Amino acid sequence: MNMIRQSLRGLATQAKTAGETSAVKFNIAQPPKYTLASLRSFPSLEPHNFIPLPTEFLDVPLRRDFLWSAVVFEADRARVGSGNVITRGDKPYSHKKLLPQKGTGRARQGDANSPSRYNEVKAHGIKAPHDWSTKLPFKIYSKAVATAFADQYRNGKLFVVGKIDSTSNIREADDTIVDFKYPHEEATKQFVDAHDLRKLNLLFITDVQRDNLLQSTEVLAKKMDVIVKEELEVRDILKANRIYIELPALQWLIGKYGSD
Amino acid sequence: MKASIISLKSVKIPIPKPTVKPYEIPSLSSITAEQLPNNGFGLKNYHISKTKFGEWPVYKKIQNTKVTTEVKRIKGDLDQFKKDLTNACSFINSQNVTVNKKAGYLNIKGDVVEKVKSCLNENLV
Repeated sequence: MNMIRQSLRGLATQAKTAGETSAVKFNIAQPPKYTLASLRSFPSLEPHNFIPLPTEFLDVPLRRDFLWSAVVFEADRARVGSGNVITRGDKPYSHKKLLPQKGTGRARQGDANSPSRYNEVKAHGIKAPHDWSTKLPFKIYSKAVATAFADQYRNGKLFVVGKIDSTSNIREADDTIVDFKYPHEEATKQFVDAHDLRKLNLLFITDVQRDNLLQSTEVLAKKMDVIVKEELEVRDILKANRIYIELPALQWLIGKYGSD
Repeated sequence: MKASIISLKSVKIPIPKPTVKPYEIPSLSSITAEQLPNNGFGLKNYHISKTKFGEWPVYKKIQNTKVTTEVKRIKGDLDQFKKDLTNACSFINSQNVTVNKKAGYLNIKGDVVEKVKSCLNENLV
């Protein structure tokens, strides 16, 4: 009788555990794939279209560790490495032995190039040119570029200039590239006044070199960066208060740094 | 004869850098509202993607004598994932699980990599 009871109890517990495991459910959902950006004309910055852009480039969480790594990497890369000290190999003094080896009653001395004397000679010193550049995996750097862009996009400071079809209405005075019609400095001044950008750092990212823009922004060169897409650094993105980027340049950057 | 072989060995042909393929923008009509933000993702739900080799992103992490199991690539509600994982895998005590919400990581005390992988394989497709 006892044996039957025990076996029955066993069956009951088995059934219970089986029921529990089948009730487990993972709440899987698909994350958003695209985020929208308005497409603008230049220099009025009037929006005329929407474009979907990938969330893995423009909607990544703000990871400060990636930004820090990338900024250190770029700063190291930018160092010239001109630090130089004199070592005894440079031989600033004569080779002559200072004292006789024996008989003076003083300590033994070699020549005046010894680093243990009171001279500028160092035993181990840095020699120019010196390469300070460090290494960073491309995947980490890519994440940093995406993170920097995503932060600016979330704060509404990223302005995409361009067009995808000919149907969109664009003002006559406007263009779909980040460039002024004339190289005169008045173009920059009017742009800054019209959009209330005084005292702000502006970053213009262009697909190819735009001469009018380069010449015109020279008056406010301290506050403005005009950069071709290949020369862009994470530091430039982080420093800017407003970013004006051409659509082909953005597509190129997403193609280079956006894929996982 | 011999000299030519040596000279050929020293010749370095520069490998051309692969050109960057620009991102192709899909047309607005081809995407749906569910693919855009605010589609309810992250509210009591989450997503975990496999690696490009088709494996679950579960790894053993050794920091000196501290051994943990790290689950990566989690997007969305990490707390809900922790709850579901501890419910599904009876060998995990929820007190031994920590989550890194910003990075999307989940850490479990001890080496339970194979157990977690088989558990995910059973419950997730």
